[in-house]
Amino acid sequence: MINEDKQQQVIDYVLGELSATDAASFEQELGRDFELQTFTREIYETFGRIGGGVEAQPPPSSIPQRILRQERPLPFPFIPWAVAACLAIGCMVLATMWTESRREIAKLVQRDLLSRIRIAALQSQVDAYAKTSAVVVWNPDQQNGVLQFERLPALPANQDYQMWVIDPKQPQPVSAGLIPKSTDQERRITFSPTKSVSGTPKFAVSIEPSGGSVAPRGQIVLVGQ
Amino acid sequence: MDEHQYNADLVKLAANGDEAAFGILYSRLAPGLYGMAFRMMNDAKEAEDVLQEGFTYIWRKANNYDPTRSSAYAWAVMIVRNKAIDRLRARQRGDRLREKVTSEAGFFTERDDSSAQVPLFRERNAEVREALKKIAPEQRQAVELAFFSGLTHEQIAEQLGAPLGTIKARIRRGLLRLRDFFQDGV
Repeated sequence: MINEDKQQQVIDYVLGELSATDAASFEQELGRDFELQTFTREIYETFGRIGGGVEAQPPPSSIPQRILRQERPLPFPFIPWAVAACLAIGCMVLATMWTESRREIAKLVQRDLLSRIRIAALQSQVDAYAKTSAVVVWNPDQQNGVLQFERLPALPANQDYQMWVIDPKQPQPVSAGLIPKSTDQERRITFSPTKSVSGTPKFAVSIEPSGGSVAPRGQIVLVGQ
Repeated sequence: MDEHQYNADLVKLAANGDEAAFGILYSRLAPGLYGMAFRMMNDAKEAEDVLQEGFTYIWRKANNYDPTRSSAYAWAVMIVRNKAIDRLRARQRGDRLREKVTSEAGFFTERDDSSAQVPLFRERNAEVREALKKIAPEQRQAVELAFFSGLTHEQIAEQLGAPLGTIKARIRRGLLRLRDFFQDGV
């Protein structure tokens, strides 16, 4: 049984109100006491519910890219010294460094591509899909993406979900293929549109007759940018 | 796979440098966390800075996340909350927040279901509002001040003109009741 004093200590710990010394001492005790661990987890979850229960707001979409860009290590801090060393010790070492540098450049190019990846949360357009959550991760350079979704209702045999990429510069949405039928509630599929798209496209999922359509004919159930 | 397990898996992937997993984790958690930061800072730009600081911490410290200690969502809530508290305390903006929290509306405003929130967050918001209605008003006030305002327990006691022990007891009792409500379903 966790007494009231200990309960208070747990609350102070989770809220960050304990001094560093007291927090370290508490953590030692926490490591040994299963009951205390359970209670601490319950308090964490309760605060998590309280904090996460405030009205949600659409967050800025650029933050992940900003973080990943800032967190990457500085490129080639060693290059001036490496070049000097190469000049000094000869062509053979220079050739080795050059090969290594090319690899590093290739890695950086790949990372730069990653920084341009776009993420879109698809919103339900009809009540039946209110509990469906879907996120698209789109790579504009490779013209392909990943659709991750949960709780997508099953369709009858004569219908399929079809993915669309909506490029404002094109007269009609570009098909990105059918979503394979499955009983799994949560899945991830890759997709690529049948035509190249530009800019910041929208993504949509519609219900189409089995086998899909050239242009969306059925109901659009999810859409997002 | 349940929601908690999926979030935990995304944190694990992010700990291994998986940038796409980090992006998905952001898309899942950020709306609620940004809403919380916005309510705490009462300023969109500061809330954005808090969110960025929080997710930078998550990216750097993802390998420290211990799924036995809390869900990934609660872990992220506490990280962003603590970043906001650091700023609130550093900038001594307690007066503005104290006014806000002690006002009738508090942090959990009544919204109708036509709100622009996505359904999952709307449900969470409604559930917490319901739970908070079921605890005594003075407990609710003490819990909200302790969590959101950046005030220490001593400052809350001073602000509310009550002994420190009374404030701590209100926070503790309110939290335990909320825990029970959440565990049993509101």
